[in-house]
Amino acid sequence: MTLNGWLQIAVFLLAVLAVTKPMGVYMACVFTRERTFLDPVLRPIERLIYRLTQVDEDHEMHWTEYATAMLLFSLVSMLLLYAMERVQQWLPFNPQRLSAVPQGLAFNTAASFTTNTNWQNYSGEVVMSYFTQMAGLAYHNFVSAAVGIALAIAFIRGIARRQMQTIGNFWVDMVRSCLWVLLPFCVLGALLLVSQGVVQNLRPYDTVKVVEPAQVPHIGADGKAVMDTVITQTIAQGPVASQEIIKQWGTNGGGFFNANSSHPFENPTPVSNFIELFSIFAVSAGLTYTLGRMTGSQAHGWAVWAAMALLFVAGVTVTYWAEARGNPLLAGVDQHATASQPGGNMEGKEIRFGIANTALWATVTTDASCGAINGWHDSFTPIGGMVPLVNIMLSEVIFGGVGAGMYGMLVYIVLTVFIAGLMVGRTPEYLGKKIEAYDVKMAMLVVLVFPLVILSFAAIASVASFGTSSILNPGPHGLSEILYSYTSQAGNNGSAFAGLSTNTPWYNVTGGITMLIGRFLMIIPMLAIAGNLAQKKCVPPSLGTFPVTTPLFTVLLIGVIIIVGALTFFPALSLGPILEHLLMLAGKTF
Amino acid sequence: MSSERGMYDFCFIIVTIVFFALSIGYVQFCDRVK
Repeated sequence: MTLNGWLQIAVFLLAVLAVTKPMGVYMACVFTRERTFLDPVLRPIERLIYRLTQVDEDHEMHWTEYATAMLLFSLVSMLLLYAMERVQQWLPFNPQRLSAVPQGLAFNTAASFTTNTNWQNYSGEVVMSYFTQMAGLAYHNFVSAAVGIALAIAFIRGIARRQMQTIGNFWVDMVRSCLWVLLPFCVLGALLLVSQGVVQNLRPYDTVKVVEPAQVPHIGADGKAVMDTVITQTIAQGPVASQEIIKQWGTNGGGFFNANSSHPFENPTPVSNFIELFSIFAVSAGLTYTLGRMTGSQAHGWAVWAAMALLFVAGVTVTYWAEARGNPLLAGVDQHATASQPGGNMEGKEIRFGIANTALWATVTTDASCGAINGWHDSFTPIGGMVPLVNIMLSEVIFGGVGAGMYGMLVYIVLTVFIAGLMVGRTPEYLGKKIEAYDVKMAMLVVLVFPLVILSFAAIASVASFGTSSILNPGPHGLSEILYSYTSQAGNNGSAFAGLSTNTPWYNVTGGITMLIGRFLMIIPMLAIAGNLAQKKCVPPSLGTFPVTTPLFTVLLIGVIIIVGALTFFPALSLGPILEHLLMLAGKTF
Repeated sequence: MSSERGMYDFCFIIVTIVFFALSIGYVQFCDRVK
């Protein structure tokens, strides 16, 4: 570990701290319909959208109506994306004449982008046409992120409102998320990325002569290996910058290219790397301030921010430490950081970014439900690779995905105040609302569905031939690959551990179902809590009230998050990365 | 071959619709268990 590395991590955290208040105030204004500086431009567009879609912007929805609207919107969006993938060969903007996406892959991808997961069982540059990338995938990058923000705002309204039956209007919340929170920042961010060298065009791919011809093995017609001399290389192009920024700002994570943000056309410079990293946390950090502002308890918003920040620092510290110390099995190799080498475990990392920025990125992308990568998590040391996995297993509430992190954290807060209430023998309260049996039942449905879907599918895949045949690394690392795959998809993260061939009928279908369950079956009970809280009256604080603005609350919240995650997933982790770490120390590799 | 492809498309579309229909049923379930 180097001072330079720690300074880069510190600067990043300070930037997140600095953006929290302005972003939070701005979003609170947007969703309480206070005037913002963008209203003169965006308000006429918003009115036009409502006129065209016949939406009554003053109509308020009960939580069941809100949830049903969200589900129907997601159903139609998913079917449209599926259809687009299947007929892309007949659609415009396809200079490479790419054929239709196969059915299983199209289903997996449609589920993936509808749920804000962006798990990719394909290489974007060889499977998706420009039209599918722009009108299908980028469209979903915006609306799936907007749905997440809308849901978080609906939950916050549920806490803030007193004796009301409604939690807002889904269509209005989604349109305002898109127009005010996503679009303006993405236009600005895309221009910044273009200034750094991220490509943005609709040209056919370039073919260039390689500087140094390469010998590539190839199986000939007689079944014997022959060497081919490669003298040309295809360089993929495309409208990358516009998709890159929403991929980060909306915590989507699906790369235009297969190599994601380690590709020099997606992430060419340290500045673009910082912009992309910062974009992942900006909205989610701001939502903690929005929570405080809309519920009238700013200190509570900061207490939640502090819990997230402490968990983030713990994660990045472990990852950076594990990667910087190198691989103990490479005895005799100098793995120390010097002026001429970054040291540590550089396998799977871009030399442009080094260990600190790769460890930081891996932590940030899995704290949030982003899933973009600038290094290969599969190549991390066992402990370094376990941190991204654990981050997702903790339901990605450490700042989290846009909206998804906040509503996930609010469910944990309900559990925390419930446990605190049990400790002091009083009815638990949260910001003046009594937390009762129904709220805790719904919170448990949210908490239980996540491990249920991960562990069920991972267990089947670990023992059945259709699951194990995709593993490229034997031993505990292979189990980690399967576990990471389902965890990432259920958590709607989308980052891959790699080392697992998932473009198969089993992984395409079960992965698609996992993503749908991980998104929608968690959202529904969460909205039920919001709807129930909105109907309650506010009770004044008493001596038995557990304050949710203190460091004690922050510590207890962290404890609940870790204990729930640890109790659920520790057995699986002990068979995967923990066992691999112990065997590595014993000198055993696979 | 083409009818087989069509059958797969049909299956995936039905699976999607059934999932969302069940989800709407889950909304009603969560509302009624109160």
